[in-house]
Amino acid sequence: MTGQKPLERLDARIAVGLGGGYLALLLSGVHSLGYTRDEGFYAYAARVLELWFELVREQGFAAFSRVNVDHFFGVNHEHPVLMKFLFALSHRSFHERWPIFESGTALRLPGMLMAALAVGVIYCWGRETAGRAAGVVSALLFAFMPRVFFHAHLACFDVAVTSMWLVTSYAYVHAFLRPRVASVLGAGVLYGLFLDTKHNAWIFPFALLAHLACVRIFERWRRLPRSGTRVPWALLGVVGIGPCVLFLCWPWLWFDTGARLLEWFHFHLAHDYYNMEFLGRTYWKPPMPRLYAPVMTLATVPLVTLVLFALGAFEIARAIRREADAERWVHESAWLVGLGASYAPWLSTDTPIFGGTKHWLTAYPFLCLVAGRGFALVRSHVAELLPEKWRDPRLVTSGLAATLLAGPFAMTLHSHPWGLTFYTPLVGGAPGAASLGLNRTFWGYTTGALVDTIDALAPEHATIYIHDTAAQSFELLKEDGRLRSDLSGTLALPLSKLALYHHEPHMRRVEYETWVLYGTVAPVAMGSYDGVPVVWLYERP
Amino acid sequence: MRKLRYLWLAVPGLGLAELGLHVWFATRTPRIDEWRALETAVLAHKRAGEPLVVAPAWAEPLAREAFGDRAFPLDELARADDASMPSLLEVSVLGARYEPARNFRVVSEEHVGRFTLRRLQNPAPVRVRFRFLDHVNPSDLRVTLTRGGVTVPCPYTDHALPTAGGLHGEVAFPRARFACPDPERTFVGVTVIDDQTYAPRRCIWAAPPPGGVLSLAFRAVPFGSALRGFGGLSYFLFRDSDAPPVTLALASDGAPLGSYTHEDASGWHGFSFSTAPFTGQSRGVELGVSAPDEAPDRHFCFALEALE
Repeated sequence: MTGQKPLERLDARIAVGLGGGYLALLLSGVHSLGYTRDEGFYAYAARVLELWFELVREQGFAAFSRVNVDHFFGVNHEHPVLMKFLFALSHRSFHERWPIFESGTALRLPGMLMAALAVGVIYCWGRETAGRAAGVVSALLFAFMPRVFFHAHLACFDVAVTSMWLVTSYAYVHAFLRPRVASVLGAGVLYGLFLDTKHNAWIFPFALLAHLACVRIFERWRRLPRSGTRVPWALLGVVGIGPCVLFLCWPWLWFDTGARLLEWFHFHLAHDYYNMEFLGRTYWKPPMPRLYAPVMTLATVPLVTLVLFALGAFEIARAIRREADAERWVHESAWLVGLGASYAPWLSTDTPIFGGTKHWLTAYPFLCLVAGRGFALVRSHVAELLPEKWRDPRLVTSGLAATLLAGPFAMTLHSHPWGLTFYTPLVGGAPGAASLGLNRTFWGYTTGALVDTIDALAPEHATIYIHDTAAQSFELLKEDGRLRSDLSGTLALPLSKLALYHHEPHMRRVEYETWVLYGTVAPVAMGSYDGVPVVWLYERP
Repeated sequence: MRKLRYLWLAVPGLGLAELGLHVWFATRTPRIDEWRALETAVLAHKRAGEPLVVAPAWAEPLAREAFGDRAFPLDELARADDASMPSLLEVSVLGARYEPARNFRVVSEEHVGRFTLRRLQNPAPVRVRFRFLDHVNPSDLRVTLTRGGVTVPCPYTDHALPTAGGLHGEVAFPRARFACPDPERTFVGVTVIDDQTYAPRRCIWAAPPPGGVLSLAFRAVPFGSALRGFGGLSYFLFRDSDAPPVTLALASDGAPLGSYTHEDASGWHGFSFSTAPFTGQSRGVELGVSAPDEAPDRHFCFALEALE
């Protein structure tokens, strides 16, 4: 027996509508969000790739010589190139050639499109397994996770890799169940692009092995016929084709391949430990707290989403026990394995935590798909409680969905553009989190909140101490016209007229340096969220 | 069991409750305009030498922006500790209290809008006669550097080039300092460092020169029962350091009082020496700061008080 329903034309329209609506929402607020440190670095790498495009146009194949590859792909080569390539392409197309977007927004567009893609695919997968309403709710629960919403704006890799894990899993499950040549090749190619997005993809083959074990154990337990071949063609496609696609799409690997692969692995497996505040303590070296990932998930994901997830997990566990639906289990075990594999690295106390919740964003689509199951369960039980005349399925579904989504929607909109300062009511919101000693901000992006004040206070040709904002990110603000073009960013406090300070406990000494050099402890402007100070500005008297 | 079915309604109920709580938490904390409106009341209460403290601590930058430097003199804001403060003025929101002074007695309390102003009295304050930090000037202090048997003076200047190294560099080096010939960090002047909680501590910078001794001679210190001090260096920079310790040797008019040895990872760390035999006398105090010869990059900063 299979409960899965193939997608219809209407579902494609709904998926596009959800993804397109999300993209429009992201674009509507992107101008108010300052640029993170990493966006500055990736923007620079994308600019270099734009120069390489020129070289390809002018010199053809000569652009692929080792000298040129090393020169143009060497920048930021600790990360593969797919998203930087898309940033460059988007910037060149939608800012340089057709000036539709400001420079930074054009760079961010591919990341936003990846987020929109994730929303659409979550709908499709949820629709196939749990119905249309569950699909919509799953997609919107994901879209309205405040931290996801923040990262979805950025020219970074975290939402992109989240989307690629989801899309590759979705393709893999279909290729697993119906191993046609096109679907197996498709899963393999997608995995290659996933690898070319971010190193989270290294975990994926292990997740697929765990998935295969889950499926085979279930089949044996329920005495069901084996799905597909003993070793799935889809798995062979992923591990066989994926690395080849990575190699083809990342020219940096074309020379000294072994050494460069090792360098890539080593960079991420022996990554520096940056500082991160958690429950009032700053962690900068192992052991990292094992509770970090679960507590931060509880503190930043709307509680109603987590409750629906818990109910969905309960429903899936019940179905495993009561139903002999192998196909359903193939889908849902992929969700559970994707979720578990995304969190697994943080079971080790050696894994860095400096990026906060972005590290395990890849888990959230699966969490929301399970939550969609939870929604279907709640809907069926709530409908039974209503009088006969009120049991219009559409009314019940839409009313319940609106009730459950109102909180995540309101919290998400309210979190912008302070996404990393947002915390849920479970910890008392941003003020409660500040009292608990949870990180208030990092990456220096909140300079965006003070650009008008800087423009108003800075003398002509003034130098601004930019603290945690990357110089390239500061330049993007100028390029977009958000900051005056005559201003200069600097990391030399003695030369500055104005000084920014982005609050993290371990950085407080930078503020003390400002006190001594400027002779004042009173900021002239404050960027705060829900009454919690996040970024402030000093003016040399 | 039939009634238990209604528990399913708790799920949408939870969704609405979470929305309501979100709105409540998002609006319950005073905004910057409310802090600014409190300025007059705070400055009316503020007494010289009585530090203003904010609870919860994370709200303090809002108070500094709103009330300005008059409410937060640097020597009060970055004080060595609360023990020598007879009283504190607390500005509290959200029902929070200034935790380090929980044992202080509340002698007055006033509610102003969403704020509470409290005067907190120290039940047993340490009485201070002389704060060395207030006497880092050429009329009260002479600084010399001794290296290889040669002693050179470190003249006072208030026109040195102030510097700051940012997050990973040196702490702020002030314009006014007793500057030794070299290296640049060998000087005596007042700066602010971060302690083991990353809180500010105003202190006298006296980094020992490689292979030498930095000597500070304070004139006419009114002696009481003890000298109480704190040693430290930027915790962020040295929290992982296992470099050789720094030694601060204390003497009075040639008579040794004792020495304090500071390990880098100790953070801001207290010490004291009895001066009971000299109580009531006005005497010189000589401090010698040194580190083992093999330690090339030593930082040190200290605060010192003569107690009644």
